[in-house]
Amino acid sequence: MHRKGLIDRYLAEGLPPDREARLRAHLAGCERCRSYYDAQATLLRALAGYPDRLTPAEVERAVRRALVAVGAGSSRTARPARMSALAALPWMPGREVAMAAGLLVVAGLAVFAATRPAAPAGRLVAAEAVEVNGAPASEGAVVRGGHDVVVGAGGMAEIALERGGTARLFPGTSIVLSARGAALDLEVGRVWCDVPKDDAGFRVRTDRGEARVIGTSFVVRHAADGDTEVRVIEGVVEVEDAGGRGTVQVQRGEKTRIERGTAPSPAQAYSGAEDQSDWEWLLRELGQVIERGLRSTKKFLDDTFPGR
Amino acid sequence: MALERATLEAFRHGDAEAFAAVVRAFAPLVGAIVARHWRSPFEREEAMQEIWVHAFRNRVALDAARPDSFARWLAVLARRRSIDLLRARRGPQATATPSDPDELEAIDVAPDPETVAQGDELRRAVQAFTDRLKPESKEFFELHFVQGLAYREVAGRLGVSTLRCKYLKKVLLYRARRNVPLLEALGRYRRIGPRHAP
Repeated sequence: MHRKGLIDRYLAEGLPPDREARLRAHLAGCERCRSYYDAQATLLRALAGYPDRLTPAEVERAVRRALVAVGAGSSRTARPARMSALAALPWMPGREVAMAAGLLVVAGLAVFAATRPAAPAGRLVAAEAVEVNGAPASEGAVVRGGHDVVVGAGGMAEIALERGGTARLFPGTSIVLSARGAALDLEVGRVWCDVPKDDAGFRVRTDRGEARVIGTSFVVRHAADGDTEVRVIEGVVEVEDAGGRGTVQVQRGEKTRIERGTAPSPAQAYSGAEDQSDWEWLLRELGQVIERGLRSTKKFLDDTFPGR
Repeated sequence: MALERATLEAFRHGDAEAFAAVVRAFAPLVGAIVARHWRSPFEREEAMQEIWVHAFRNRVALDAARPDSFARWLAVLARRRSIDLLRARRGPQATATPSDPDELEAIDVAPDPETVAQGDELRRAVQAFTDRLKPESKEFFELHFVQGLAYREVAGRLGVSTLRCKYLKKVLLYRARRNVPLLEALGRYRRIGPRHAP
């Protein structure tokens, strides 16, 4: 399977050593992916100002790989202070981000929580065109804290959260869950969360702001490079913008919007019908796709093995 | 490119930090050598990896008392290893081209005019791309893409979160990959490439 997204992530932030090795083994044997890798690597060099020279990130990657290859060190390498963040661990800075539960957030930025294999954050109870941590995933797959969950253009995902509750991902959505599913970073797309009330609180964060939920059903929508909208179906959600300019409490049947550089807007009426009907439509459509697939398979079997 | 004698001595004894310092200091040298034999960035990285491993395993041959000769030692090792890798891939008849007796001097040879011209065009395309960026994005671009600073340091300088930095990078790469003049200049540059690479 071709891995553009994984290649992009590898070049931008690195990967754990084992995944890096698997990716590079794939690149060695796949001309298409290698060509894409070469084009992106050259682009990064061009952006750095010197298309024919190694970028600082490439140098550090060479250091890390060389050390691992000779068994002279772990993934941590001694490096000049300015590269310390990248050098410490290859693929993420290791910050834990708590997310509020009751927020339906559509936002363009994900915070990676843990760098080492994390505890389960949830489990896929329904999946169509889903990748977890760069690999295709299906129903029953475990989602760990810090792993990307990406839903393709024609797909959907429903995740049972370890801490309780459910997160439903619409097509074109990318999220990262923290350990135990206690928080959710919405990178892009739309997520509908149903979470029970607990003392820890559940938060959904985007690059525009954060929604803290006490126990509710809510939708967050955020397009890449766009604004964030929080819609509450049930319960109460507290929404704060990333710049700390203001906080708004959004009740059942209300919504708020966070635009660039502003506090959340005053709560406005929201029916909830749009998101619920969109989800129901998705399920119906997928059901039809599955049904068509089953009919096609049945016809193939009937034609191939008559009288079976 | 120069390292202290103590660092080379430590490298010779297999010290990890000293090896890391060697790789950082001489990556441009080894990178330039492999660029003469491979066009693909991926293949160059793989060749460099082989060279570093080979250098580490043969470090006992290094004369740490003469740090000024280390670059030449490494350059010769890199060239020979490159030839070995090419022969392994192509067969015994493969040779490095051009055959320069002094790899260090060969690296300093000025690139051909067409490569220079395409490189200048690519830099102009990048400049045009960054000229249209908003101030925060432009500042982030300079700190992260050009200077190579990690998210944490960039975040500290810009007064934003690392989350914001990650977002800015995604958006900038998204735009760069769709910037037609930049892609066209990049395509022309890649077609030219190092003249003697495979």
